[in-house]
Amino acid sequence: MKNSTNKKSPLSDYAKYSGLAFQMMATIALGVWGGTKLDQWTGWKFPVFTVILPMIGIVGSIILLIRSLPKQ
Amino acid sequence: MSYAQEHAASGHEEETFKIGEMIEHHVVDSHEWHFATVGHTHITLPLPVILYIPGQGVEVFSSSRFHSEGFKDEGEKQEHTYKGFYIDELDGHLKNTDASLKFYDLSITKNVASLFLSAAILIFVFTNIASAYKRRSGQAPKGMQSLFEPIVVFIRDDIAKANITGKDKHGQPMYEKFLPYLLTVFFFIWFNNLLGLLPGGANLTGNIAVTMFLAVATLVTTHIRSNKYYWGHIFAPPVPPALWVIMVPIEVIGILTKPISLMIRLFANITAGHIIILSLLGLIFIFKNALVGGVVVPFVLFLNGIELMVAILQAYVFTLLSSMYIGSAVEGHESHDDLGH
Repeated sequence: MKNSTNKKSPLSDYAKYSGLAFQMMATIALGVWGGTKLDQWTGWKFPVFTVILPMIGIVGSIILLIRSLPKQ
Repeated sequence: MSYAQEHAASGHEEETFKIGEMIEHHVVDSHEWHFATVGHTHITLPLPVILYIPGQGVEVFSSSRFHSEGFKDEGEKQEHTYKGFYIDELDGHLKNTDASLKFYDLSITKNVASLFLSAAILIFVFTNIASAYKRRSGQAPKGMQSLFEPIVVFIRDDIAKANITGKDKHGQPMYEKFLPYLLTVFFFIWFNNLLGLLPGGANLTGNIAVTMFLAVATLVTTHIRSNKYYWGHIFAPPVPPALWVIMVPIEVIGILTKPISLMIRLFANITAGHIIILSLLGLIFIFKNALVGGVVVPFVLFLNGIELMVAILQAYVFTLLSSMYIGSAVEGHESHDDLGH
């Protein structure tokens, strides 16, 4: 079970990190979309959620990225 | 290419070549399968149009009706109609002159026809190989068998076994349960990518509805046997509890963004490849210069070679990421896959 991590090819690393990149984009895009919807729903003057949700998306995806890096 | 020839051949001076239209014609779905244009003759396979109209039932006719029946109106647009149905030149959608009529377009379009074709090819190839294993059991593989055996073994060992490490309650390795799915996905995407590269082929894996279905299939397969450790990682991620406010929503959304990333990557890679090749070829017809062709054609050949590699690479990436997602959902708590979060 353990040996699967150290014999991974560079191609599988490419797949993994490109997967994370697309996931990051999708998370932020979902944040923007959800934020705009929420702001429309609340009807507030300042678009609070459009600002906050993508921020959470960015912070969260960076934490995910850091956690997925090999621990050296 | 053929569409471009058609425009160049009908060559009235005032008619300009519209590259956007040419690219769209090649990349999007349509109700007929246009192979080539020789001189002024179109070589086209008309496909069946199947419409479900609530309250009126099903309407089936050939899309060639749109060419033989009368005009909707003698005016400027001149769309061909059949029983009020016509294909909008602007967005390629099937519409009715009566805009209030509700109907569902279940037609066998170019992409659906291409899907049937690739399904037939896949079934033919793999039933053949399977029967060859039965007939020649114990002997060395031969013919198609020896072409596909290394690929199947590669997917089993380097994709499925390497990423799906858990064991079920009978002690059987989990990857065996998911191997049929992973192999199907790999060969489906690869064969359709290659079919899409053929001249006149349909851009099936560059259609977001198709890649969305593949992504949903991975989503369902991932969660169907997910264990408590997987859900534990989502609702109690291994980060300081102060960060749970941020990380739990991110992990929950991550369930959805993983398949979305699969869907967008395959769609974008295949469609972008087609668009680049078509744009470069379009340059010839924009400049109307043989020298441009001399530069563009070798470059397009080179890009086509790259596309052949992208075809198998994207199939590999989709399969690999699917197996990583599945692996993260079924593994025991003692093993740590770094994508499993």
